[in-house]
Amino acid sequence: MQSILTHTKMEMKLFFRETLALLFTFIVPAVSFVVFAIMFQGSSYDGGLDYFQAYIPSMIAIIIFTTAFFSMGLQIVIDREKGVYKRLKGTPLNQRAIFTATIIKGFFAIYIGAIEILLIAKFGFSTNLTSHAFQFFLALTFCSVTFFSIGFIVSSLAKRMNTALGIAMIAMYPMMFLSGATIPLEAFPEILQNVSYIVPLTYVVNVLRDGWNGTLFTADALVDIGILTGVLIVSAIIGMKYFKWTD
Amino acid sequence: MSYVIEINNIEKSYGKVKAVDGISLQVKRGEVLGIIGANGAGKSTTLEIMMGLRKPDTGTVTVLGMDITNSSDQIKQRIGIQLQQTALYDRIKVKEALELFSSYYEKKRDVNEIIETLGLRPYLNKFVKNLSGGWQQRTSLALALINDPDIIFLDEPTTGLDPQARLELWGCINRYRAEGKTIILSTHYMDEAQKHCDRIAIIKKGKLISCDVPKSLIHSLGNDNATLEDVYLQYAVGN
Ligand SMILES: Nc1ncnc2c1ncn2[C@@H]1O[C@H](COP(=O)(O)OP(=O)(O)OP(=O)(O)O)[C@@H](O)[C@H]1O
Ligand SMILES: [Mg+2]
Repeated sequence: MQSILTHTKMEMKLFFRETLALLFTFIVPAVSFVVFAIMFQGSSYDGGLDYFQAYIPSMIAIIIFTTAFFSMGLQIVIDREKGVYKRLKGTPLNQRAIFTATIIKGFFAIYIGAIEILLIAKFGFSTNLTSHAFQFFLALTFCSVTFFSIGFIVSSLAKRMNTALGIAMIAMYPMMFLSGATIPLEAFPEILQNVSYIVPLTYVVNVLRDGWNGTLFTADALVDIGILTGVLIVSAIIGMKYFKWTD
Repeated sequence: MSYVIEINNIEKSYGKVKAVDGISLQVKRGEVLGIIGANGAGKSTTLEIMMGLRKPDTGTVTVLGMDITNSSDQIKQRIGIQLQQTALYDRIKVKEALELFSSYYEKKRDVNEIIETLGLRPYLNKFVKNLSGGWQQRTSLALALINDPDIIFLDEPTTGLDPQARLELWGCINRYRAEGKTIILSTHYMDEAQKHCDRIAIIKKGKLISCDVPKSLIHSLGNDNATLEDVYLQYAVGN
């Protein structure tokens, strides 16, 4: 028990030393949020949401993506390539503990990143935050778990750090731009709008917006939740079959 | 004679490559056993099977009287390992690595004593990644000692060290041997092996060619002026 605690603390400490992870978790989403806020504050979006109702969930969706792909998927490949997990296998620490620590680190990154966005919105732009805190928390946690399982697929597919980095970088474009997280999907031609249906982050954006705006338990939201649940189940199965801590 | 490790006819393939091809070996309590052999001979694979990091395709491994597949948890509490690569997080500091690994074990050796013995004090607040090869090696040796293990496995502990560092490292290894610990290591330095190892196992293409005291190995060449290097050339290379 003591060892799991110490190991988890160390994972988190190391997370705060990864420049790339910090950049994508705490800088890029926050800066985008502020820039877009200055540009589009007065606009209204999809279903009559104002900028903050639409983009607070969006930026947090991006944090979920970057955490799952960079801080988890890529980082696991880096550590595995270095032999870290092989070395740990020689200690009494078991793989369940390593898994637990990785998941806790992921939640930690996402919650802190989300709180950062909320603080900027509240104190930078004096917006009212959601009155559906519980629904939003639920949506956030569910979407995170779904993307964690995709992150583990990245570490199953990639043996080398460069491969994992490539996958994360390539995934970043559709995830950022064809999910509705940054540019509203209506701005794209129909063919690209259709692509958004196969970008998993689209559903995260929708579910987070539903949570934020209190419509998580409606029939509309159910479709998005259903699709994410499917993604979660399929990736969990793939992960369990192919993911390995050591080569 | 009590054996702390018994391996019985183990084989291990990676795809088409047969890395270990039917090795049987017994390690005696308190001895320093050296494993020598060419690059790719199967030293690391054999060591990693003994460490419980890889499962042999066939054969059995008993460590401290326990089967390695059934009792790996108990065994891991009582062994210390150093891999050929440093195998640590990029951004961990020496001190943090010591604390982290120490937390994994029930039994702990005094960390300060290990730090003093290995001369790590000035490096405690440095990132392991930024240390020179020799100090990285010493850090991973320190981690191998942190639980005061009965058996210490070292995969090429002196490779890449300068002569003085090698000497100092052997000083440490001998100190632990004097405490009665069993030490199993691989090396490419024949002078070291001849001087410090009680017995030497020669591996060639995944097979154990011989395992004996250095003197007998040299004697077997029929020339008493020969060295272990001659033994190596005779047994470990060629087809
Ligand atoms: N993870 C792996 N995947 C595929 N092949 C491997 C793997 N590890 C080792 N091998 C192969 O198995 C054989 C034995 O390798 P091993 O690392 O055990 O040799 P070694 O004696 O330790 O060599 P060296 O002196 O270079 O460290 C080699 O042919 C090597 O290429
Ligand atoms: Mg080797």
